[in-house]
Amino acid sequence: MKVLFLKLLLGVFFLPLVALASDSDFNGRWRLDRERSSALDGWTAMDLSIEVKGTKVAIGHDMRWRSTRVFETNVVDTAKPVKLSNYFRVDQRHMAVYAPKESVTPVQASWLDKKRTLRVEAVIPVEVSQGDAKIRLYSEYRVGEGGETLTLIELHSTRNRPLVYIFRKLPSDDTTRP
Amino acid sequence: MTMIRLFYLFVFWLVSVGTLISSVGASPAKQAWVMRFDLDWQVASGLPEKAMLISLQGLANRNEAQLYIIHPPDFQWEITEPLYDFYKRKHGISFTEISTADAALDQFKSATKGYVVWDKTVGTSLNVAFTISGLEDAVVVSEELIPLAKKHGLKEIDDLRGRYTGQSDAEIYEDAIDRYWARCNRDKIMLMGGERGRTMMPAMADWGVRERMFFHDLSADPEEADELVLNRRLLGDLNTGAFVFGWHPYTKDTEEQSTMLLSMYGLKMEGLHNLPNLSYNCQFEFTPGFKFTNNHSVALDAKLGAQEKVYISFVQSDSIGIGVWTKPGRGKLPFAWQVTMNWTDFSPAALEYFHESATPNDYFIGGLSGPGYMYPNNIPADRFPVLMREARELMAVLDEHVMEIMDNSAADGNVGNADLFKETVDAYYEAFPNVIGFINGYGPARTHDLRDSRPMISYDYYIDPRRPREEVTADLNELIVLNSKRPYFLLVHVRESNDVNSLVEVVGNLEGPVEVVPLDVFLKLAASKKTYKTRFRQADDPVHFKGF
Repeated sequence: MKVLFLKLLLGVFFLPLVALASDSDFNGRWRLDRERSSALDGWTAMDLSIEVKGTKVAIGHDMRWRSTRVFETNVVDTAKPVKLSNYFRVDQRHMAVYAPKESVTPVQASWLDKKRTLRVEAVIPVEVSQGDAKIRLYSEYRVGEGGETLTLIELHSTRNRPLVYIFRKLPSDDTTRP
Repeated sequence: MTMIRLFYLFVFWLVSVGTLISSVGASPAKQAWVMRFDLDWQVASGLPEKAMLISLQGLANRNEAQLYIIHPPDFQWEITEPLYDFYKRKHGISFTEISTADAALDQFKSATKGYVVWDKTVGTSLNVAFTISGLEDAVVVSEELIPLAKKHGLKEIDDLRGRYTGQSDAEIYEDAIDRYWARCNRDKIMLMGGERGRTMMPAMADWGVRERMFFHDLSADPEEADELVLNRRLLGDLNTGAFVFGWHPYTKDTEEQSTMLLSMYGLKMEGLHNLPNLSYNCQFEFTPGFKFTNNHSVALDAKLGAQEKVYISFVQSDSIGIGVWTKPGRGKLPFAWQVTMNWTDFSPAALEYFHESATPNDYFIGGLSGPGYMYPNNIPADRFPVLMREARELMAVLDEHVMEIMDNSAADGNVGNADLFKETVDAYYEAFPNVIGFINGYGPARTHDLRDSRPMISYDYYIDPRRPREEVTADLNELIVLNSKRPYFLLVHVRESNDVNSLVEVVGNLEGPVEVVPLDVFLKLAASKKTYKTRFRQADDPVHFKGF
């Protein structure tokens, strides 16, 4: 509980301050526009908190389902591949696809389109009913003109239909949670 | 002297046996009455009259089946009208419609000794009033209905207005326990939860009134410790093997907490809070000559061989009465339906109706976890074999070969941990030597096993009725890719209110060598080639609710 609280403190209060001090349009908190997005499954709401600091990009996921709150952050590096422990993915929770208890995910990230697109590619280990499997997850985070909209496009190596999530930027003084 | 005493004893025995035989053999009355309800259950409008009529129904039906209530098709229990037709058609009941509360009181006032007034400003007082109703043969009225009760010559038995003003639910129920619990039924208790506040839906209250149950909606949430302690006291006071009828109170606790708690006492849950007409239904038996004959696609001892395919099977739990039974398309795909097995006692006509209207693609299975809704990871070890023997007997009556298990005590609704400990799985294998297999979960789960020819397969997918069908298709296709060994056994839980037509479309868009098969075939095939990994719930698996 304390850990979650500290994570939230970072996500809700610290990130907006960082955003003010940074020049990336990505920085800040973004709230999912459910009407315009692919349907979440097993989650009812989602915010992203993004902080760009040098070559590192911290992508926080503030997820809600009923009384369940999850806040998890992946920190990727646009300068070099990294291996992340317990990489968080927005899972479809009505599928029997589980994150292993301990896992390492190789992740590559880079800027595209004059830094208006962040590309993240991860090979994520999962557990399914037949045992271990992997999903190659290709994500693009695209900031729209004016910096008010963020589009996340997810392609799974295991899924022919892309998932498209559209977010709207929250004002820097908005401390509400999803 | 001894001869005279023996003679009197013999005469007494004859009279007793005669009385017993006549009561056992008594058929329900062929003349009955019916009322139609609308969907207005608001405290400020429709509820008070409905509460009065439901309490009246419980009293009127105490000695014979007299009053039946039909709800609109979009009420959660959608089969009241088809079942009404069934009673007319198969039992020859002639119903007379009653259109007003006034007429209902006129017809059935002799079943009551008076009225008890509940306090509309204290919703909990309605549950206390229902308890009094059963004990004192009183109809439950709100303030504005007092004149109507008086018009029919009914006298006030109790008035709860003001008695509980400003009190917490724990205080109210503590008082009610002190006053009434000693006289209440200890084999059955009514957890009259569900909706709270401006809308309440106590459609099952007739049953509680008839059976003189204690009504409450005490929380099972440990954070509401004052209520939990009373809840536990009541559960602990019940007789071994007792039933908890009704449903947990929304916004106070969760279904998982509530069901886990009563499972810890080895009790059986039958719901929901709005399951209507049990006071009527319970008085019927199966029609003469009726015998359950399930649509088995494979014999118990058959052996099948799986091919290099993806085998899919669909299951609808949540009890068939609130499911997709009346939705379009039933029969187009093989479907397994979890039957509320205790309806053999409480609602035989409903079970007979389902069996009568089943298509060849409808297959019935036992559940949920036992002879009622219960979480087996939490059932006391000494109660488990007794309960499962009961379940076995019910499954035999219902001609069922598959047991469905669900333990959501560590889950969060239809996501999260729904797995079984190895000890629980061991206990099921021991208790059910003659089933084709077991299925597990509600949302997805990962408990899998195979012992001799009996597989235990968990759901790999749960279809949320609100999820767009194209995403459902993509989800299933993704599971097929991720589980790349063939055969792959993909068990799908279809949540109530999905319609089968939409699933036909989903199946048509699946990729790969897919075959949809009936559940018994699915399990036989799963027994023939084990491509799933044996797994049980592990001590360090994530849990949502840590327990009591």
